[in-house]
Amino acid sequence: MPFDAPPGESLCRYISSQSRIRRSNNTVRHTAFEPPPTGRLSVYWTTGLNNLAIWQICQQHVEPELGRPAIARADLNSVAVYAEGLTVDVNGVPHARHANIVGWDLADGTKTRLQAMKLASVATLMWA
Amino acid sequence: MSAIAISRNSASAWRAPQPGVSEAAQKIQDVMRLVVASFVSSATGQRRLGDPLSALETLYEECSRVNWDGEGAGAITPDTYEEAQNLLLLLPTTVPVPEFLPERSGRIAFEWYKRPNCVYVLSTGGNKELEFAGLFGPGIEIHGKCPFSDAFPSMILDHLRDLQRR
Repeated sequence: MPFDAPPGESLCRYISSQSRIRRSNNTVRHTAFEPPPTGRLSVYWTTGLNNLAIWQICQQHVEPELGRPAIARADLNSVAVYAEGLTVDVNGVPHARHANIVGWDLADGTKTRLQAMKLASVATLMWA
Repeated sequence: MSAIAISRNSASAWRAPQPGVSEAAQKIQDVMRLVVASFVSSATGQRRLGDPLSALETLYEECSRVNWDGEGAGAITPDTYEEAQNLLLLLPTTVPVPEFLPERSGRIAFEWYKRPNCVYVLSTGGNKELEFAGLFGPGIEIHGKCPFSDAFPSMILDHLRDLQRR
């Protein structure tokens, strides 16, 4: 279920690795948005949810899969995703609000890295 | 003697290829090793080389197994680690020391950050080919690849100079 209605939808990506955070100024590094080989970067659609509800999703559905706690999340508007030629696909698994950022050109690793850098540059870091 | 003089001005000279196998060439290599060891033991050398090499080693230890991030990341291989060390040693002293990041693909990224839309990433994967991507301000961006062997690529140096000016 793709969506792209201005002014966009709120998305978040949970972060469990320190290396994906720039601690010097509390910003997100591009490595937080690097797509996996499947080309489906896991995010959650958070429009309309309060902070507590967003972290509850993490505790119930993300941390068990990661096997470790999330330390932060990167909040992002879907408009930034679409501006990179990418798409948000809400697939509802394992949670109704789970989505994937798709449309990466995985054959072009340098373009993918640049896209990840641009997403990171507009993302907002929220500590757990 | 000229090799030593160069090494005082540029760290990259320390890793310059030494194809010669003559006694004289060996002596030059030995002297250069002493110069490097002496430099690393200094405060400046520790900041330029000692600390960054330690950071790279830590990164390698933490990310040399598959799935180090819990999300299926690739392992950083010994070849990638070695190439990252070489890249660091070839880094001209005029360029700030970057931060090192493990990438999901198993590559090691060197990051130079000024502000959110002014950042440059150079990535090494142990295959003698560097990948770069840079944001130099609104609408100004670059990405691509370049070969890497025994010298710091001049194209990358130009990019980093451009970043520093912004």
